[in-house]
Amino acid sequence: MTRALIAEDEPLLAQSLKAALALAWPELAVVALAANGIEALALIESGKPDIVFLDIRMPGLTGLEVAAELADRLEAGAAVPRIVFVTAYDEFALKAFDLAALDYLLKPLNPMRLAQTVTRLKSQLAAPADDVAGLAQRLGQLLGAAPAGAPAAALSIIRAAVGNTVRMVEIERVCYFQATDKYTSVVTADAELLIRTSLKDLLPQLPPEKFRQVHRGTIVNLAEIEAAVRDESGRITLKLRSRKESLAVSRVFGEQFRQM
Amino acid sequence: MFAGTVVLNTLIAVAITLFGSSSHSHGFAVNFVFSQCIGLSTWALIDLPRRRLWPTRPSPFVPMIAIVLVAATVGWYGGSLLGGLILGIPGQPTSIGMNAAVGFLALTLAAGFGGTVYFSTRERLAASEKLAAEARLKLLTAQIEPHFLFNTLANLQALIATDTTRAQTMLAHLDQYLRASLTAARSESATLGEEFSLLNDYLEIIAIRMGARLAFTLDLPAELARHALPPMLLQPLVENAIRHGLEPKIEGGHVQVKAHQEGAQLVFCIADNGLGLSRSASHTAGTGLGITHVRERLAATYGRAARVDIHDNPAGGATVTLRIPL
Repeated sequence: MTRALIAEDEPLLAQSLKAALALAWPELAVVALAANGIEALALIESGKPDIVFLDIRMPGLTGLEVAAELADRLEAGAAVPRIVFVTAYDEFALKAFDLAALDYLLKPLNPMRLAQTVTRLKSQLAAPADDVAGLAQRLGQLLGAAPAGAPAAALSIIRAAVGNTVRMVEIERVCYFQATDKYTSVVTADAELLIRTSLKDLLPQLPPEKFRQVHRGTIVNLAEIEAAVRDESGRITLKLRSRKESLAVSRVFGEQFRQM
Repeated sequence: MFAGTVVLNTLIAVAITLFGSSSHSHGFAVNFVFSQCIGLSTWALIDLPRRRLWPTRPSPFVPMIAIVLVAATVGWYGGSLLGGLILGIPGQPTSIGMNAAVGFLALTLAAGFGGTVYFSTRERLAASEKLAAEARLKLLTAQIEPHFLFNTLANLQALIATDTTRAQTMLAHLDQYLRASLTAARSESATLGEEFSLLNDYLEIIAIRMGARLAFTLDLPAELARHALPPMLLQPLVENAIRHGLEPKIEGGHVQVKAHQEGAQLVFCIADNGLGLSRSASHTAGTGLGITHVRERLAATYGRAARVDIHDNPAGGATVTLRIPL
C-alpha cells in the first residue's frame, strides 16, 4: 500500500488535503500529519513514507529546507520519497518547479490539478525510485533559480561589534560565514566575530563570483577553498587555506564542486 | 529659497558689471553689495506676506502680482538706501538720475517676478512629490499580502466542506477586512475604533488559520475610540508580529495590541511572545519593511512629533511602541 505524509502548519488545510486525497486516491494511506518542518523531517525519517506533501512556508524548517535536509541525510543510493510541494503563492516563479521537475500544488486546492498530480505520482511509483543525487541536483537547480528579491547593494566591509568597538572587516578577509542560533559568525584567518545579519539577508549582498552558499548554515569565500574532498558516500567537505576546520557541503549545493 | 535669491542677486551684479553703462557702474564689489541689498529686501518683502497669508497652500495669482509690484518698488528704494549706507556712497537712489533709476527699478521688478515664478513652481513640484510619496505609502499599506489572501481562501475551502457556520463567520471577517483595506486606501483619516475593528477582523482570520497556536487581545479604552489617526497605521505592525514573530514559531504564541493616553500623547503597544527580532530575521525575509513604511507615514503626517520604537522583550518576542500627538 502506498503511504503518504502531509506537512502543513495550518490544521484545517492539513485536514482538507487529507480529505481531498481520500476522494482522488482512495487507496492512498495518509499515515502522518506534521505541523512544522522539524516534525516533518523526523516523521519522514522514522515512517519512510512513499510520498510527502510539503507546505513551503512552515515554522521550524521551510518545505524546501526539509527536502534539502532529507537529500543530505539519506544514504547515497537510498530510495527517496516522491515530494510534492504545496504553496499558497510564491514569490519566485512556479515555472522554476517545472524546470527542476519538482511537483507542486497550489492552495486553495483545485480538484482537477490534484487529479493530475495523483496520476503523475502513480506512474512515478511504477518506475524505479528516485535516488538521493537526483533529488539533490533538482533541488539545487530550484534554489539556484530563485531570485533573492531586489538586488541588494554590494557589501565591501563587514561591521561587527566587539564590546564598545565596531571592527571593520573587508569581505576578502572573511573565510566563511556560519549561522549560529541567534547570530551569524564571521570567521577570518585569526578571528571570529558576530553580526546580527542573517545568512539569507547577507547572501544577496555578497559578490556571487567570490562567495557561495555551500550549506544551509554556511557561506564560503571561494578563494579560501584549498580542496573539496568527497568520501565514499558522496559527501563533500571543504578544506580551507587559512583555517584548520573543514566545512560540510550539502548535497543540494554539491554540484559546483564536481571535477571539470 | 534664501540661497537661491543670493545666487540670483550675484548673477545680476555680474551682468551689470559686464554690460552696464560705465557712468553708473562702480565695479563688481559695489554692484554686488547693491544687488544683494535690493534683492534680499525684495525677497523678504515678497516672502514674509506670502507666508503670513497663505502658509499651507500655493499663493493665488492676482494678489501675488500686486505683492511683487509693491515689494520690488519698496525693495529697490530701501535696498538702494541701505547699500548706500553700507558703502558710504551718499544720495542713493535718487542721485543716479531718472533714466538709470527707472532702469534699475525695471530690473528689480523683472528679477522679482522671475524669482517668484521660479521658486513657486519649485515649491509646487515639491508639494506634489510629497503628495505622491504619501499616496504610494498608503497604497503599500493597503496592499493585501498574497500569502494571506490565498491561505485564507484555502481555509474557507476547507471549512465549506466541514463546518459551514465557521466558514460563514470567516467569510464575514474577510469581507469586512477587505472592505476596510480598500476604504483605507482612499481616505485621509480613520478613527481608532475603525482601526481596532479592522485589527479584530484580521486577527480572527489568522486565529482560525493558526488554530490553537494563536491567542490575541485587543485593548482600546472606549473614550479613545473616536480619535482620528491615519488609516491602517497599526495593521502592518500587527501583521509583522504575526508573520515574523508568531507564524514561524513552532509553538505559536500571543499578541496584544493596547492603546492608551499618556499626557498629550496617544501610545500604542504591539507586544508578542514570538521569535523576537534577532531570530525572526533569519527566518523570513523583509523584516523591517513594515516598520520603515510606518516611520515614513508618521513623518509625513506628524513630522517629528511622532515616534516608533521596537525592541526585544526580555522574556522573548518583540514590542513595538508608537507615540503620536493627541
